[in-house]
Amino acid sequence: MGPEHLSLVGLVVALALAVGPSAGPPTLFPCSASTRQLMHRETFDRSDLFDFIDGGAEVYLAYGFQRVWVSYYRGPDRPEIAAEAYDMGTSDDAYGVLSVDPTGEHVAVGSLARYGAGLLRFCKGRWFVRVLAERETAETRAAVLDLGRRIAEAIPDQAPAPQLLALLPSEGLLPDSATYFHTQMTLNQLYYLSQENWLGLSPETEAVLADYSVAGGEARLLVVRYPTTARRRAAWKAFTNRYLEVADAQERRVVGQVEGGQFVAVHSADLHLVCVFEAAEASAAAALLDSAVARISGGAEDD
Amino acid sequence: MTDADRDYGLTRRDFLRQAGLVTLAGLAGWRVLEAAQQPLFAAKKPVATVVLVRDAKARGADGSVNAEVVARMVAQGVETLTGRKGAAAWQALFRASDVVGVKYSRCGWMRVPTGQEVIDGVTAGLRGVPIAPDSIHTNDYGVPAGGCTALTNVASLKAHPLTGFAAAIKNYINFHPTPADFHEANCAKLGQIWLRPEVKGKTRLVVLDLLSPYFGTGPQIDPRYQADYRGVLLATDPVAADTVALHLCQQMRDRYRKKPWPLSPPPLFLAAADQKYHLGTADPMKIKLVRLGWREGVLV
Repeated sequence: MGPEHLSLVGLVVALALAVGPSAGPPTLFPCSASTRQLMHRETFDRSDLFDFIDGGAEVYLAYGFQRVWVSYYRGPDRPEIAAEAYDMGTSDDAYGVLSVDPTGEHVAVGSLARYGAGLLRFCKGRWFVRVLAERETAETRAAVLDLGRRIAEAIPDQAPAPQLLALLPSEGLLPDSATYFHTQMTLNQLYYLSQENWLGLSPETEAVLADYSVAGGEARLLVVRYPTTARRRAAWKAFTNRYLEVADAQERRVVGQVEGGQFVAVHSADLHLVCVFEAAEASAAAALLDSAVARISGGAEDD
Repeated sequence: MTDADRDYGLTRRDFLRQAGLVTLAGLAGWRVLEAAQQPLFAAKKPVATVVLVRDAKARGADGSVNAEVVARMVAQGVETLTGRKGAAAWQALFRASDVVGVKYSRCGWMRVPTGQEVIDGVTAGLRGVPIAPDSIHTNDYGVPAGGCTALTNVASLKAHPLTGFAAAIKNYINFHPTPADFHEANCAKLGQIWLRPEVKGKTRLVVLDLLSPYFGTGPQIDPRYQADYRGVLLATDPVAADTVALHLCQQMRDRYRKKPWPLSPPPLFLAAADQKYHLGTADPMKIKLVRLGWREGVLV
């Protein structure tokens, strides 16, 4: 290797050190946004995310969050724009953390993109991205969407929806209501059942919660997929015993009424536990439950 | 379930069937059968009084805050709360010899901090007592509670993914050296922090910044869910202040989605603050809310 090669290697190393982990993935963030320049960058991983999101990092840690890079774009007499790119480990979890609130104006940026009042959120590949203007104006809306598109273009991967969402019956499904998640923390953020983890949720479980229009009003459908039938059995036992207060449920299916006049239905199937909450009528709970169970593939139910 | 574990292990069904919890569940937007039979926050013989002051001029259309108007709102709230005028109103709560910690919630613009104008309104009132400037310790992290004879809790209002919502009671979480310890069990044990020796019994005034409260999903701000409310809320009872704030936050959510959008998780910490830690009352029938100023979109 000649001296010129050593110089080139040195330059590459120097650039890498200059960029460093704190500078973030440089290919994701452009140097400018509209008339603003990228002025400051910072990064946080699982160990120090609390420094960035004091009091709420758990929302990301409940998924496979790895690291976030944050870039701040500033320009004279312009509201600041911050762009945050979260490496969520998998495309499922990038989709999932966005789907905690899947509402907003649908825009064509990456996958599942939503915009509202100066905030753009989208996912692509294993990335969940937020682009936020300090305040919304016509100019910041255009700048936020443009910056988002440029970030999305820099991510080569696509972001298919998690496979589990395919188990949701389409009939009656309310738009922008389905959330993909793993843990008890997210479930309680969406629909509180208990501080105790009866359903045995963990990073290894997959779950989806969605709202449905059913006879008599709306109901919520929860589908959980377990890594083993033993874990599904344990969840079935705990949930029917502790929540539905059925001492020893022998059947694969229980429909019961709880306080507030609401009906709850639950069915165990293969690796899955399917629950319906807040149905106004028992028949509506059972119909939604049956519809979901029918979509579960994977062979015969076992127990 | 015993009183000792009422704040831990509460189920959704507990909230729907247990006296005291049903009311809070209802305030948090849950569908409950037991509807309130009386108007909320209209106690004839109140255990706690909460004052809401609003002014349309507190914020401009561009979100800028009028510090002068906000200072006047804070002063008016303290006067109404104490039934006295001017410096005498603050002297009803603080002595000139007090060392006062003003505990606010500070975070960057991507979050929901206590507005500086609200903090300034409080410190101006304290200086009028008169309390010497070097006896007023204003901070988020680093208020020397142990060295203070009095505390003022100046918090913002925001929906929160771990607690349901956060206002006065959660604002003291960083008086504990390891606040993350309180994040488990949906922060149900936040009230414990108020019983720490350096904190217990020192809170003389609660001021909630309701200029632009946040009612949406967290943890970071989504500006769609930031209300232009232009208010401040004052009380001496932190639990009563948070109970009114809970109801307000829920009303904002329902109005935004034009249908029930319940807070979740439920305010376990609020139930415990009342029933276990006895920090004040969370019973809306024991609270009197005094509404002053701008009434458009008041919601509570």
